[in-house]
Amino acid sequence: MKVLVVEDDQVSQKLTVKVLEKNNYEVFTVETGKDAVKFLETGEEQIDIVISDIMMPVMDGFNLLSYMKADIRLRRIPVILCTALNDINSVKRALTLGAVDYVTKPIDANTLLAKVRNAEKRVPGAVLVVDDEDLLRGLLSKIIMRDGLKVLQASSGKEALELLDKNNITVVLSDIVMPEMNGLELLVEVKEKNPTMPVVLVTGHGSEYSKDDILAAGADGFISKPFKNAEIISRIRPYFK
Amino acid sequence: MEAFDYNKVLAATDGDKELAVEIIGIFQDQVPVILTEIDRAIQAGDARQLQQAAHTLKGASGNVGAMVIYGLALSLETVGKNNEMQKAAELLEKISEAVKTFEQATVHLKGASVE
Repeated sequence: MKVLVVEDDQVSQKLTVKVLEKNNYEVFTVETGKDAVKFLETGEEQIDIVISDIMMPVMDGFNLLSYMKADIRLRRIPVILCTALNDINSVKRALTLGAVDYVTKPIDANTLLAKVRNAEKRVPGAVLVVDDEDLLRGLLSKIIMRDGLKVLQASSGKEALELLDKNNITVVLSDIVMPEMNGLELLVEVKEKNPTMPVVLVTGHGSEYSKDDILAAGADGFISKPFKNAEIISRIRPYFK
Repeated sequence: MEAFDYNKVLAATDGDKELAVEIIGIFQDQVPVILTEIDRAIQAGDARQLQQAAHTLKGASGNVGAMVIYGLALSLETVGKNNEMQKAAELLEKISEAVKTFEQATVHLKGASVE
């Protein structure tokens, strides 16, 4: 789990970071809401949870939260705001703007952890994109990420199975034609391990497999190349309630 | 109220004594900077700046168990919020005193972090 801590006070920042790191979270830090937006928008790290202070120079926690909820790519990320003790108005405002929870300062390590663990349950799973061709895999990933979903990429069926074991994945999107394990073989392996894991297959023009073959093999969906961006999204979105 | 509440800082760190000493150190490095900011805000009559700086001090002091400073910072934050600048200088003086007391109360922890 990747957590972004947005906090200008060094004591609170250090404390939050250490408590989370000790509990195996991967933690990133910035000091203002503005820097948080910059960090999140580069998309280099796909952050799962944001913990933000409220009062900060240059874009406060409320503004950061509102910005994230209005941005399709950032909307999925659960946000926890830090408020001062007994500041009931801030708590109300935070929850109204869409924060999943709040923590009060002074920080209590156990309360903080319990709240982060709760927020973790609200983190949507990723789309696992499987394709041996870098270009197409990158394109599919970009289309999906632009829609605000988290993506994991695998360049082979073997790598895909490893990632499935270790990560929270909601749906698999795989090309069919790949060396070694092809998409249909991957489909069988995935369903053997986890019959309810949705698998959507992508097939090329004039492929040796027909749509009927693919669905009969147990795929949950089917996309043929060339595809439109919207088609990818409409096949994937239904798996994210 | 205690100048230094060790249990508070241990609650903040989930019992991690080393981390407790570390954040107390960060706090002590940070305090002079915040106090200068507060002083500057008072000189300039800038209530908003005062409120900000007092808020930062409040957040930091609560986490290290500096409860007297915490209480004073809270008062100072309110002073800034209500624009009652005439009350600020006296509070700043009390905070400076409390910082010294806090330093004395925590000095024994340094070097005793590895237990």
